[in-house]
Amino acid sequence: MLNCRQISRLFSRSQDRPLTFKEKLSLRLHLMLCGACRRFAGQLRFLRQATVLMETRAFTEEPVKLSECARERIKRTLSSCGNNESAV
Amino acid sequence: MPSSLPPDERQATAPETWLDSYGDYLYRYALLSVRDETLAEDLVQETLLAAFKGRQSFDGRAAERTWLTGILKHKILDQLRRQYREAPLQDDAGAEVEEEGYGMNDVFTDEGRWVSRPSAWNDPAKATENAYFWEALHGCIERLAPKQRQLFVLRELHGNSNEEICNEMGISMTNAGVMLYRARMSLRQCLELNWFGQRPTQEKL
Ligand SMILES: [Zn+2]
Repeated sequence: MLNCRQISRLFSRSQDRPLTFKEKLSLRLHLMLCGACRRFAGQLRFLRQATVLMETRAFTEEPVKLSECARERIKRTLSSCGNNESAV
Repeated sequence: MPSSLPPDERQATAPETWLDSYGDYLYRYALLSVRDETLAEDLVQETLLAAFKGRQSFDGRAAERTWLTGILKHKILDQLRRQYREAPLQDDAGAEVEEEGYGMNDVFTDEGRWVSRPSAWNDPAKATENAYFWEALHGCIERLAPKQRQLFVLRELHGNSNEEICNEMGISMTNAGVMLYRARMSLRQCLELNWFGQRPTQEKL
């Protein structure tokens, strides 16, 4: 029987690659019997969901913006690139 | 919105509009990975240039922003790979640790039991509706050790597979697994302390 530390690693691994049948079985068995690890598993699942939401959501609300200076520089680079292409 | 236009018109949008419409978004996206403003600006520029040059290949099926973000992800990965080549895994010396230690001695007892039980996170779904929660999560990610943070961002935000990450960065799957495990352990602890722990409603009787 795996202990909680081993289970925490196994659960983290399950988020990166499919577990073997045996691994799945020992994970499920432990989670059935151990409330602390059930909470832990829930926390990691939530962490993953939140991170995905962060990608789509947090970006639209953060006030960080490109500086005017950088914006101008990029604009210039792009338009010079565009001019070169149309001249060819 | 450009995404409501028919595909041929979408293809016709000029790169200058991309900068106005998606520049800030791409910039923030890049910042989260590289944490260097100049570098992030350069990445946005490289992305828009590459998009401009490859605009014929944009078939209009994906939303423009998704398409541009895809290009940016490649640029970020390229950038991190260069960085890794210059300074190969310096602060990873301790990543290959034995099974048992794993640098979690404060979390687990010698017998492998939790030192303190993970707490019940009260209504996590509701937390995501709170702007401060995002700040807390962002702060926790920022506080990770640099390599852990990069791996975590590549894995969870960019959705790269472990294989992709390991190939790009030249690190072993074991290493990546260990670093991701550590990142997740730190993040859950950080959220527990900085978000869920201070909620007065938590585990109310
Ligand atoms: Zn347990």
